[in-house]
Amino acid sequence: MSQETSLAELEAEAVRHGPAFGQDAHILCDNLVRIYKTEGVEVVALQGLDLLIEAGELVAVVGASGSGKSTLLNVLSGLDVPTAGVARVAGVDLLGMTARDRLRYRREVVGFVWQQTSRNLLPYLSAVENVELPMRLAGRRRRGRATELLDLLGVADHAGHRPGEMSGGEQQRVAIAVALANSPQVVLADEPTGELDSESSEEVFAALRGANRELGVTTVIVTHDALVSGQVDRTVGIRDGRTSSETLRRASSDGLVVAEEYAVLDRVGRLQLPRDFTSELNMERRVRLRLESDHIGVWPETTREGGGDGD
Amino acid sequence: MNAWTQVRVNRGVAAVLGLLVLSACLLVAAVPKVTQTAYDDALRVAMAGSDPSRADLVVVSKRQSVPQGPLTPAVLLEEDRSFRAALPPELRPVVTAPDTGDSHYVVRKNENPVISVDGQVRSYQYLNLAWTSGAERHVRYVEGRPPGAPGELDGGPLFEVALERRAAEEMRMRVGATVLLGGMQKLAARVSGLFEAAGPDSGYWRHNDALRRVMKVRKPGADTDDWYATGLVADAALPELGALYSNTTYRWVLGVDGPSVTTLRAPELVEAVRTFRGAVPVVLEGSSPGALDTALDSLLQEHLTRLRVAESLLLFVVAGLFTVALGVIALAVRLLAERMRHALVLMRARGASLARIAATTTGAVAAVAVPAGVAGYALSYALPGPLTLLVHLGPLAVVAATALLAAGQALAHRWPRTDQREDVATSRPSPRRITAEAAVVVLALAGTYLLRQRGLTTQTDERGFDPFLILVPAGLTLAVALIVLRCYPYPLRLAVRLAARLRPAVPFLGLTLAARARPAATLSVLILLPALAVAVFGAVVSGGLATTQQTSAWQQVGARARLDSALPITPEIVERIRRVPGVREVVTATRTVSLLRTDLQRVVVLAVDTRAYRDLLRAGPLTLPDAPVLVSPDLADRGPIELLGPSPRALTPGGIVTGLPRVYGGAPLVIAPPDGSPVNTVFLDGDDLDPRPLLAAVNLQDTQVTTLDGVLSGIAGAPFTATIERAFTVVTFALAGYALAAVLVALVTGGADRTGALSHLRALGLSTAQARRLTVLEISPMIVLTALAGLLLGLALPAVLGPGVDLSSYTGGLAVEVYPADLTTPVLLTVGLAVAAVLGAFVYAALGRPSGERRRPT
Repeated sequence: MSQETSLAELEAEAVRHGPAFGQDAHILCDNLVRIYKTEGVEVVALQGLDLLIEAGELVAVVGASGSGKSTLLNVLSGLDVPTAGVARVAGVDLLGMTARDRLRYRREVVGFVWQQTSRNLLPYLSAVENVELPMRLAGRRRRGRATELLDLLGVADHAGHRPGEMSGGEQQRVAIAVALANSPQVVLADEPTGELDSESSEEVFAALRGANRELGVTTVIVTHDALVSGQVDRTVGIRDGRTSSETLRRASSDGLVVAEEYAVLDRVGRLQLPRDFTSELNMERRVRLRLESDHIGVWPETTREGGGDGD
Repeated sequence: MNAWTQVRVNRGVAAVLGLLVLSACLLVAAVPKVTQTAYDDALRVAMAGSDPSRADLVVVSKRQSVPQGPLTPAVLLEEDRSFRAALPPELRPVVTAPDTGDSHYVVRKNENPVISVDGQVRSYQYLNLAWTSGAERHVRYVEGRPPGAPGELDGGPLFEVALERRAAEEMRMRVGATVLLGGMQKLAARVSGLFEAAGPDSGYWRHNDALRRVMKVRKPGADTDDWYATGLVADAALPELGALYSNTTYRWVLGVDGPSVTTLRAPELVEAVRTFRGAVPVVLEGSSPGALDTALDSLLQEHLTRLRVAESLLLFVVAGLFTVALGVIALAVRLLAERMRHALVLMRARGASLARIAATTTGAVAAVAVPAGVAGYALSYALPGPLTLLVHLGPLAVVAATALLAAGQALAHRWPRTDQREDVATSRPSPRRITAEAAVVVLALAGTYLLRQRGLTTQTDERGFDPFLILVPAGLTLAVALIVLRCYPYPLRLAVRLAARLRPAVPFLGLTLAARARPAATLSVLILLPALAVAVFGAVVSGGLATTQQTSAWQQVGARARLDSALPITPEIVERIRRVPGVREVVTATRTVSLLRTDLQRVVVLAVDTRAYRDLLRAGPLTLPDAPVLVSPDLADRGPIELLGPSPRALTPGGIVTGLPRVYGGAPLVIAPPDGSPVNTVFLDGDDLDPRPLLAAVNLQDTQVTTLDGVLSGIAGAPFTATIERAFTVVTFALAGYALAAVLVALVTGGADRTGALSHLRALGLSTAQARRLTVLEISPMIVLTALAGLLLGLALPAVLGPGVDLSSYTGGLAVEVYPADLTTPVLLTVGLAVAAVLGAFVYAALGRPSGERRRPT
């Protein structure tokens, strides 16, 4: 048989028959790039970020300041449009949305909670009025829904109170109710406990977790709070505009929560090694790799011969 | 969301916005009303000041054949009705009914030479016969009785006539006198009674002046005056009078009711008069030609020409005011939107559409602007004036523009975000913006060049107002504002470098902050600059007008007061004049009319001691060269001149005198040393010179006193001039107020950022006093530089508009060519405004929160 097939054709064939990347994911970011360009100054906020979140998951996103967390959240909330890549939430392609689609997306698909308590609520409206606001804006006011949500979040007593008459934690719980008002499929929270003391943080996180479990809402929380990141099933770490690590938590047989941290391998095989690992072993510029039967060994350039257990 | 909730939450800013909209609506509605009233006053004064025979519609017909039937008042009334029927509809409301107002009709038999009175032969006397409708209402008999039906004398008609008492005395015709008249037909008159005019100031008497005076006319080539008196005949004499068809004139006066002639009606009335002029010969069919004799159309046309200049100027300043008012309103709307920003961002994030955001912003702004606009509009009704379309549309436009500005604020909430991040600094403006700004500057300069090349007011009669006159200054102002915005950081950066070397940190920090001003500050530059430019322009034009009016008045009088007499003024009289209170200096002169030997040109010769006269003119704008013989410019190139006349003289001019010829109607003027001729002119200097004591001191017949103050008040007090002056004053004050408001609103708008910066600096050790100084220093450079640019632009605008606007009708005919170099008012205005703005900044800084931090709701 003289038929010759190129490598590209083979790859395309494989993609055609195999399942697409993140086909079933509720939130999908594939090689997401966001560049801000003003008068020759470029800021690359996201540089090929990959992220998959399943429906109903509760995920925390952590990262240093400037790592791209807020940009990611803005993209996911529909406020920002990525420069390149794929971003899909609940089946909605965030890159190809019209203004009308974007509005519908904000009304029906996502709910949002900001860090500043004052930014989430209008100070001159009561808690129940604040919760009703998104429903009224969407033109589908449902009587009792606001009260139900306030009740679910444990702030039903404050239904008639204005934000100034509530504590920071209570305000944030009302804010979660506001975010849930139109029954969104995804709730995005940008450091919702950032301005709160630990007790209030606990209450707010519990409220978010309760909403996630009882309503089945996929929840993404950007946080610096170890208390929060330590209590979710999955924590995604972002570094320099890419997902760098993931921590999975599962309950062991003896009832303890076991956390395992993984490095993220992207679709083209790139891997971010933790900075403390590389600095410990003086790894700079080049490393040597060796494929073993069940793992890949990584050695600093200066090591002559990698030991079998050197990985 | 309820718009009232937003208004309630931001009531401070809403109140400011409301006040701004209210004042703008009031100004926009009131200025056209008030100016329209002033225009109508000016027209009324012009109508009242002119001879009724010019302002009224008079149909004049010279009958050259015997009428078909007997002439009766009813026949004349019927003809009057036929003229009225031919009146265009526009003219009908302004014409008074028959025998009311000035309306009446007259039949006159003229040119009847008096042959004898009671048998005594008379020469050079004529007795005209006149019948007027409604005469009995305008005369009061003082002797004899009213004329009756005509009789017969020697086969010719004998008319009974009534004469005006003084005219009868002058003509030496007593009651009962029989006057034989010559001419083509045999004619006689008998004086039945004497009368005096009842209501001598009425239009009737101004139309029939010949009835109450002896008219003295010198025919060409004659050396004696012919005296003409007019006798009034009775209704019963009308058929007889109608039969005398030679030299008989019929006049139907259709009186025009002055107050009902308004500026708004003027253009259509001009057309209607022209139409009526064409219709009159058609109505007067037959063998009696006739025409409409009126100057109403040219009177109105003159008024409209003056009006166009006033309108051009006023439109310019009002457009400036409107723009500035809208600019400040835009700042206030922006401030309100900024205050609503949190709510709007939240609404947007919670699923509000852009239209909803726009509706919320517009609703909140409209909730303030609509009541404020209605209040401003309603307040304008307190001022008198006609309700033109502009009165209704102006406030509507202000409110609509305010709402539109509010809707525009929604653009800040568009999704998705553009390629910008707040933390990424913009290094320089985009090439597109630089190109657009350069285009504005080039267009403005090209427009200025074109405006200077074209004469605009010369064409306003035919083409009406030229919008180019508004567009060019507006474009120029915008161009200068852009240049200021683009260039003002450069001198500031230089100042920053110098300040960096100083020990105190506040100047350095303040200037650095100023050099990096926010857009709110740039918007206030765009408002402050035109406000100052128009205010300075107004002050300069106003000052220029005042100075030119002064010069014009001096040129018309030739001193602070001038006394002209037909009879010689003796040294005793001069001495009496010298003793009149207020008189400081007296210079006597002899004014004669001579002919030049070379070409027999008529010249006015003023024999006066030039040295003394020059000293007297010191206080005014007129100057005399230091030479005994001076001539006006039109005689300058003739060299030595020889004068003919009663005292021939040969004179060698030593200089040229300008300005003074206007004293004597612009005729060629020669000023020569006194030659001993009797004095007939006295020039006076002094304070508060009153004509009455001066006339009493002279006590000679046919003496006139002209004072500078009298002439000046005549020029400056004219309704048009007063309106322009008043409008400029109001607009200048309003602009100053708006400029101040713009600075304060800009300060408040930037308040949050400034508080943030100050809070940071205070954490580093900045004291409260230093924080205040910092605020003032931050805002001052922008105010000072903009004020300077506004001052320069305001001073340059008259030069730009100069050829476009002819103000000579407001200065007694003298062209306002060069504006005065007196910069006191404009500079004081600019400095005052700048200082007020900086003080405002200081007060704002002083009243700010001492903690320097904005408290967050908890």
